[in-house]
Amino acid sequence: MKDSEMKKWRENMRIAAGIAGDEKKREALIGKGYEIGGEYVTKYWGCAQSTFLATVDTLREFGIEILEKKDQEEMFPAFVGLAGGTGNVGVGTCGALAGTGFCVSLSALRCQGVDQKVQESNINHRWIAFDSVYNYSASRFLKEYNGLSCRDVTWSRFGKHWDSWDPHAKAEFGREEKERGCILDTAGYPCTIARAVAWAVEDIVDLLADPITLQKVVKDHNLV
Amino acid sequence: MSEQLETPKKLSEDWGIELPPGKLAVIKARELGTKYQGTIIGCSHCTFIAAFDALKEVGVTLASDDIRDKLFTGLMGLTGGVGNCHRGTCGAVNGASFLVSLASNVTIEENARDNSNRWLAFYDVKKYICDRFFEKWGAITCREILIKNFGMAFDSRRPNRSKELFAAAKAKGCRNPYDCTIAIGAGWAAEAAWEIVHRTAEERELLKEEIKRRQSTDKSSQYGK
Repeated sequence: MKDSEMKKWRENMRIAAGIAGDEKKREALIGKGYEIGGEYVTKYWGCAQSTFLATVDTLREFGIEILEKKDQEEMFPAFVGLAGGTGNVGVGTCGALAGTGFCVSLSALRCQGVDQKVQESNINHRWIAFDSVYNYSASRFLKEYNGLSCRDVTWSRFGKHWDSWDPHAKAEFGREEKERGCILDTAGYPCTIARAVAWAVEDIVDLLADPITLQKVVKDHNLV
Repeated sequence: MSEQLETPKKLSEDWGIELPPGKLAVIKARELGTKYQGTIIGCSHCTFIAAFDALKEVGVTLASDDIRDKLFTGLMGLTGGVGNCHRGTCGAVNGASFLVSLASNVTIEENARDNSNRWLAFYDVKKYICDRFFEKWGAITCREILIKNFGMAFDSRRPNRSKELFAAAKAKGCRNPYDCTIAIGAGWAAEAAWEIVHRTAEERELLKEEIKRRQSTDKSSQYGK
């Protein structure tokens, strides 16, 4: 990893520590996550790409830059197809978890200088990413929705599954979304996208302030 | 006994004849997927970089090396069905889907201009990755694919079960370009991306229009206006 990137991460960690220890700043960050996440619901209309962009943009508003704007733009297309439980098939990971989990993993690793070369030098580093995403993002989904898939979320929230590849079912999903206020009040409702962004920005700040280290994962998972 | 696979049994180095670049990318992706699972470990990021690097070898560069490395670190946490808990999308599906979606190249501007454009990436990921996994494994989630592969699934969050999973893979001898789920996912992703990036602009627009026509009752594009 380049020195310039490492320097940026050190600055990110310094700012994160200030937010993590200040209840007002933390609340402001969470509120902004709901706001930007909500705004992107109807701007991009896809959970993975909207949560990815909103997480990065929210943190940037507070001085934490986990990706530069040009990186974000170049990476954006990779997220579009992950929406709706992967390729909009419903049964895979909720796109909001894919988009935010990605940001959590990236932050947890890169703030400690972990890139591909470092992972290759010691394969245990991967557990930093696993534990960060599981302990924070996935655990929130499991607690709130009793699962990680798109269908787990819709079943838990609405008691219903929709096949998004069936145009009539998709249209009905859209109608119900509108009726329950998810379109008109995305942040307040809140839409799953806005909620996932709010969770992610809080989690990333906590992870930057107190990272899960290699020593910890080696001990916790009995790694050699 | 392993089933008949579409990849030639000889590997790319000793093939001895000049293969078409698209086919070579598939074989290289399978080889690299197997190799990376031995040196880097982890389905999501290894599948992604195996396909990415194989395509680069045949002249298709989907992103800069810096972006590739950042995608690598972001994908790592989505390994093993998210955080290695096996309940989400299989990492091989996930890494392959990221690669295919990157190749589909629905940009921020294209998505914001008319968000029904996003269906192109949904279509590519479903057609080239999800449908193929459904056909072969009947699932795209990690736990269900493990069951199909080994007759058992393991909770890798528990140290003893994680070791059992690696032992089961070793006993089955599946770390090869023909049987490894990562290798297969990487091969399918490389094959898909090769086709996608070779669409002409006109073919891409026609495909988008056809997908939009089929999803014509999706009114979400109008809700935000």
